[in-house]
Parts: sequence; C-alpha cells; structure tokens
Amino acid sequence: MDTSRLFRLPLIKGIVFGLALAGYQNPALAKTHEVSMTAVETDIVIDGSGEKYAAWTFNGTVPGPAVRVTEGDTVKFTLTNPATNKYPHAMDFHAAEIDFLKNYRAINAGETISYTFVAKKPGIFFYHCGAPPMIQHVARGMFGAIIVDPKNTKAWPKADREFVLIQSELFKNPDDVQAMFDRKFEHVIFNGGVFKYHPFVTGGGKLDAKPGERVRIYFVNAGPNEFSAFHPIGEIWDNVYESGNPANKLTGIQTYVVGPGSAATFDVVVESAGAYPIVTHSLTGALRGAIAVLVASPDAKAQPLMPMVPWNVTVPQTEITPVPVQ
Amino acid sequence: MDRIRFTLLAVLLAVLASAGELLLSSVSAATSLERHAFQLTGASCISQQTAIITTLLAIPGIHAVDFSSVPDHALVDIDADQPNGRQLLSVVIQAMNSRACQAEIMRSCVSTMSLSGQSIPVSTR
Repeated sequence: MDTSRLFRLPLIKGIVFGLALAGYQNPALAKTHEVSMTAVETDIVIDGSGEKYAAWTFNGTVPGPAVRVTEGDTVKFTLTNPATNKYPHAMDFHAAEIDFLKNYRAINAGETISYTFVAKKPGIFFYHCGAPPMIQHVARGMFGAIIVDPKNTKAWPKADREFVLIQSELFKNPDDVQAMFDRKFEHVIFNGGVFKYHPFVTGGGKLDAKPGERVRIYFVNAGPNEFSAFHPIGEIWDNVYESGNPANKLTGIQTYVVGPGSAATFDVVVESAGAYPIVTHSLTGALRGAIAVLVASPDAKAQPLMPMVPWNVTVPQTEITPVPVQ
Repeated sequence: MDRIRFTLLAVLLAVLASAGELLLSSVSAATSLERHAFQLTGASCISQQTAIITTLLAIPGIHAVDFSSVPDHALVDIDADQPNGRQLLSVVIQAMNSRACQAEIMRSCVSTMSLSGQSIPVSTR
C-alpha cells in the first residue's frame, strides 16, 4: 500500500485550507474579464456652471470607466474606434506587462484592436491613450484607472469607503498642442472637473464619509506633465501604498508626491466630523481646481467609486438639515 | 356666466403657469451664480434654519441656501451679476444674526475668494 499517498491528500487539503484562512485566493479561481471600451470624441461638462469642453474619452466620460480585477486575473481587452471619429486612438494599460508595439498601437476610425494580459501585480494603475501626439490625447481626457486587488485579502486593512481620484491638467484650447508642451494649463482638476468636489463653489459636490471610517483613495496622476503633492488638509495619511501595492507601505505621511503617469493608494481615518479638503499642495494647481473636500458626518451616504462622473450640473437647491430630536 | 368665468380663470392660470416656467427656465439657463460659504456659530442656526432660509430666499439675488452639505456652514448661491454683491453678503449675515445665529464669511486656504473679497483668478486668460 502506498502510505505516502494517504498523507499527501490531507496535507494538500490542509495547505489549501490554511491559505484560504490566511486570505489567499485559490489560483484556480482566477477570473477572465472581458473589457470593451469605445473611443468617443464628445463634449463634456467641466465646471459647475455647465461649461462644455471638446474632450476625447473612453466610453464618453472623463475619466474613463474604472476597471477592477484581482491579482492573477486575465483581462481580454477590446478597443473600438468608431468610423464616425476623426482621430486615431489607442490603449496603454499600466497594469499590463506586454509588447507595446503590437498591443498599444494606434487604430484608425473604423478599426478595433484586442489583446490579452494577466494582471500579475496588485495595485492601482493608470490607463491612457497612446496615439500620437500622446500629450494631447491624455490632456483631452483619454485616461482612467484599473484597480488590481491583492489576491491576499488580508494584505491590508479593509476599507470602509473607497474612491478613485484622477488628477489631470486642463488646457483651455484642446487643439493647442504647443501650450500642452509649454505646460500652460488653465486648471488642474480631479476626475475631469474644475472644483468638482468643492462644495464651496457653485455646482461643486463633495466626498462623504462617517467619522471613524477608513477611507481609501485610489489616486492616479494622469498629467500630462505636472507632479501632484497629495495632501489631506487637517489630517495625515495613515498609510500610503506606492502604486497601490500593499507591499509598498508607508505610515504617517503628510504629503506624498505622485508623478505624472504614476499612482498610489492613500488610507485616512478621519476621527471627528468636519471638512477635510484633499489637495495637490502644488498650490497653483489646488487653487485652480484641484481641491476635493471630504466631509465627515454621521449621516454620510454611500457613493460610487467616482462620484459625479459624468457631471450633471443642476440648478442649486435649498437644503435643510434635519433638526436633532431633543 | 359661470362658464365665462371658468374659462377666464383657466386662461389666467395657464398664463401664470407659463410665466412661472419661463421664470424658472431663465434662472436655470441664463443666470450666472456664485456660491458663498458662511461659518455658523450657535445652536439656533439649525433650529431656526427654516425661518432664516425663508428670510434669505425673499431677498432679490439669492437663489438657494444649503444648511446640510457642510456641518456648521451655510452655502448661499447668489446672482453673480449683482451690482451690490458685498452689500448683499452683509444683508445675509444680518438675516442670520437676527435669529441668534452668528455667521461670518468663511475664509480659508481653500477659499476661491481673496480676503478682500475679490475672486482669485482661476484662469490664465
């Protein structure tokens, strides 16, 4: 009788069970995600007065849709450039490790391109159009984020609330490529809008959380040129993870620099109710649009990963706070 | 006679409804608004908010008042083309103070207005 086989099976089962207890996802359960996007050349609202901008987008919004997979998953991606478009477009996923000549090439209007990659590393990654001139395709809005969750769910504390924030520069004239090279931006913005999450500006919203919640911000700097000095006014980042990888943990950070094309995940636990503006501390950027106010309140409601995308500006309404029952 | 009165009343209501819609449309489409934040102190700010809001909305140039978005703050949207903008802000403060709610214009590092009340330029035009 082969006694070694008698021990091997329970041993294997025990290891798998132990890994599951430790939070590791069974590799056999890695998924395949079919992700399709369309290059859409369209006007979008960029500020609280409803002003429009001639953007180039993925799926009609700036930023494009947030993609979310788990470490080890396969992404089967297809980009469609409709025949009605005027310009070529492309897709570069920073989460992929594949040949760029073959996969990130520009396609003309009327064409599609497909490629597959495995999300091998956990983190928050930038995606963007790489068609030339790339500086213009990024400046006009062709970017977004892909979250690759770690396969070990216990690699970091569980977040109570999550947001994706993408910083970029906005240039007044979308056709002035020289201005983009010369860094003559009009505004610095989060998620495609000037003061989009600044409630002290007409049309502005806010980010909501309850006191005591762990708020996780997946932050991407789309550029195209400026660095971000990401800072929470009135708070300190409890943890910062470079590129969003739990292995790259920093603790107690006041301000963290994220370069163009890079990303990081930021955790903050706001202990008391109040308003905590999140800014780029490169102040010419903050005071020209890159301020997002996190309002901590016991009655904070749930919000999507990227609130107010697209930005549907409404006429301001009169709002009343419920009076506490005595 | 009753039929004539009824018809006249219906016509009058239709005219008033149309005028109301036009008024709303003009506010939403053509009016340029700016928002001012006021820091509030005093328990009566919340308990008296309905009365404060009613008073403020009766003032020409004020379009919306929001007590709920930011704790201890009132956000007031006013007509940006008001010729007497600074006076209007004083009127808003007086209306709140009259209800035992201390209000002052919020000025902080994230204000888009300078201390002199001038809008900070947000473009390079």
